[in-house]
Amino acid sequence: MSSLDMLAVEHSTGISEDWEWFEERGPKEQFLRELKMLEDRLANLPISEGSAEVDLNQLLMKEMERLWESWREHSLKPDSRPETTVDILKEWEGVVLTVSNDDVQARLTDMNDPANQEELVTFGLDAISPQDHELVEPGAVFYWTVLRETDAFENVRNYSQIRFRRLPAWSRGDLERAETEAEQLHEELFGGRDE
Amino acid sequence: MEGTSEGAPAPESIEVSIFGPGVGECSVLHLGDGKWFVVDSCTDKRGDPIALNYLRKLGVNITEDVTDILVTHWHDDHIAGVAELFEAADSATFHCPSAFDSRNLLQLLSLQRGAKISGSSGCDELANVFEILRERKPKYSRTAKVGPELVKADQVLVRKPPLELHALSPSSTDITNARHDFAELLPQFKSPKRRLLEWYENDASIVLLLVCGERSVLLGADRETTDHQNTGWSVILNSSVRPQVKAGVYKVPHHGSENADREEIWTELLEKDPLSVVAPYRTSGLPRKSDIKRLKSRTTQLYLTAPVEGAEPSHSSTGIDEGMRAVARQRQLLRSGFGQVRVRFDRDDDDDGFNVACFGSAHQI
Ligand SMILES: [Zn+2]
Repeated sequence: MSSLDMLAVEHSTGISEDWEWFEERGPKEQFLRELKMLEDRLANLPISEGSAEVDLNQLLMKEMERLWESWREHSLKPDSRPETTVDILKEWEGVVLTVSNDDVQARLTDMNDPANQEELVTFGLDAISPQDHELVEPGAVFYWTVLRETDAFENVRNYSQIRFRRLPAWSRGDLERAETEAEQLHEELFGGRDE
Repeated sequence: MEGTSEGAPAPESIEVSIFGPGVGECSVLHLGDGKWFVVDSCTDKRGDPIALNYLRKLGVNITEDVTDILVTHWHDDHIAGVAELFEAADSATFHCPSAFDSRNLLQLLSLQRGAKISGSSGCDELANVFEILRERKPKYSRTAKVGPELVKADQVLVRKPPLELHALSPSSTDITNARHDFAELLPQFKSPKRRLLEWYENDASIVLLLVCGERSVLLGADRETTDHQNTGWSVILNSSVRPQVKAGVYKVPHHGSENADREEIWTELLEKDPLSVVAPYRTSGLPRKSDIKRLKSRTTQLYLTAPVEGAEPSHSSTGIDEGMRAVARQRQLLRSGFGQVRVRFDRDDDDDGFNVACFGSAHQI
């Protein structure tokens, strides 16, 4: 096992420990804190050469998806919060198109059924948690979840939650792979001639 | 298929149909004798390529009779669904702007595809088209050229007397600029991944001029005006090589935006009071009210393929709209109220004028 592979395993175990800790506690705020930590770690990954770096990226992305998935289950589990239940009504994936003053314009795609109609929405920066503000720029990807909260007295509240994805950085591996693929495709389509 | 006309044109009837669902556009040309040339691609609200549905509805044999597909530039709104269309059109030639043989562009496609950032995009469409081209490479030949046809100004793409289809752009300067833009778009090592968006600058779009005897049609793509003589509309206006004719039908460039409009286009390239069609682009709010006012002062025959503003979404499941309203200041459907502006004329009769008809949400304003 190379030192880079070991680094990957180390990271993975670290996350699993956090993960157990998270599972014991469970509630939404905890999830969000956890996700933030994970995303920060993803953004600050040690940059190294070769494929192990890519694996590490993928590993962390997978953990993030799991965290997300588990929270969804968690929030649906009635016994986790006996006094209040939260249902997910809709999940959108959004892409920021423009940001002007305090207005964010974005395109939303239905995550459960991408064939459903896309929406064009405008919302205020104030709908985004302050620690995500730095991520809000054209091309940024986020999740928009519409939730229903029902309390013990059957009071219902429908609300939205917007979370920005902290995408990993381009690695040297990503760039090199693209260069090789492009060269190969260029050779096949255009005979590799000079432009 | 709602919003489109029925009945295929007669063999001698030339058709130019401009479709627009609110975001994106597609022009479908019948060049006579049952042969079809598709310019750009957009999808309906179910995500199906509009041109494919339309041609199927007319009973066209897609495999044999769609002879050409051309993308004027690579922005999402002009390329959505083009891979599916090309896949179905087995014998079609694929045309794209000359700069598309750029290694940097191919790298961008590969990066965006590998990053799996969000949904499908113009990058995926183009990557898929190139994949199809690669698969169609004849097995027996190692050297056969399989790439797309690279289009630049002053090429004649179709010659079927009395009909000719000319490319008026991109100019050689446009091509150089586009290559430069592709290089600029390549991400730096350690920069954060993000989705490539449609309005990154790329002015190398293909303007087409269909000439048929005395009548012609100008398809303006997303061509904008620039400050330079060798780019934008200037280079087209200045060209002594282009056919010196005036078009009676005009696909207004760049969704009617002001920066795509110039007085000289109307005086030098178009007949007086031309039939003009705008396909809206809701994500940029185009055309604006001021654009419509300006265009109406240029021509009395102005058509829109769809309303500029999309319908307000409404979800059947209770609570979704309420939950979204808590945050959203404005919501609209990206693709709603889709329509077709169809122009037909008799290839062999120069006295036959342009017969225009609107379908779906398309309307004259
Ligand atoms: Zn456009």
